[in-house]
Amino acid sequence: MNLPSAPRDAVTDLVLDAPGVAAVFPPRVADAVAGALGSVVPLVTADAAAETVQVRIAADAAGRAADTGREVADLLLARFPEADLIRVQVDRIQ
Amino acid sequence: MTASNASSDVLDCGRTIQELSEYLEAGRSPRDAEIEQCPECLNALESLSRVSDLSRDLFAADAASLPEPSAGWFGGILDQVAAELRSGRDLPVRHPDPRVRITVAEGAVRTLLRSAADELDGVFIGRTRIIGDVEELGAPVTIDVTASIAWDLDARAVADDVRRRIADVVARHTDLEVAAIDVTIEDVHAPQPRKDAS
Repeated sequence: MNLPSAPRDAVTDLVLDAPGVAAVFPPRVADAVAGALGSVVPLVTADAAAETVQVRIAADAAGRAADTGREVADLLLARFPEADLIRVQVDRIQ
Repeated sequence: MTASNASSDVLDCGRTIQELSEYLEAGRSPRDAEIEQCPECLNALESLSRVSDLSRDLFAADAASLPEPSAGWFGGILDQVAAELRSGRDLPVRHPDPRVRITVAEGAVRTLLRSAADELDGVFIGRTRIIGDVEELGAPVTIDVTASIAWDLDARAVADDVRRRIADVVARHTDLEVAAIDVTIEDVHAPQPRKDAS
């Protein structure tokens, strides 16, 4: 099974539009190297081999970071309904 | 001001507190795009900037009257900041779909805990810790913070204010089950001008 192709900017914009998202960060180096074995999308990593979608974000401190993470996950689930793993990391609250 | 323990100041991203201190002291110029897009670095810069501002205010206001332990206590804060930012535990967030894994970085939460409590006038946070199995949803955890307070403040009232702010931050941003919030006043210092009066 392959994930639908997702232009980086479109997916990044999708995540940035989620309520409470302040920023989207590039993947860690290790994640990017792992992604290079499949398909690399620099900001939102969609790895067809592992069937995962991964995103690192900053949440707005005026909101609720946990709820923001859930909102982003729901958006990604809707965008990638066949993904086996949706991974949302809130790495900063600003 | 720089962290003193060079062996323990490496962040998860590979950069050191020393590097970031120097970048901050240079006014974040020339702009380093990698640092400015790295959440660990941004958390560190925020904490370092706050500590730097607070320490400058503290020492400028009445350095001569400070009891000796206060200077030492304050100097150790940078090491605590480094330890907070280096911790890489992931705090899980509930979601009904088993294919979803959401986490909040412990470093991000501890940065926010420090920020929320440091905003109180006359309060300087020393150490913040989240004790317990934070990576297990539903496991009880204890928040432990230390502080120095102005000697004209009511310690019990300050501790209650700090506890309230921390409880709010944790409830709003995480799914942690907080069993207790321990606040230890471990030092006092001379009263300072209000933090919002710059």
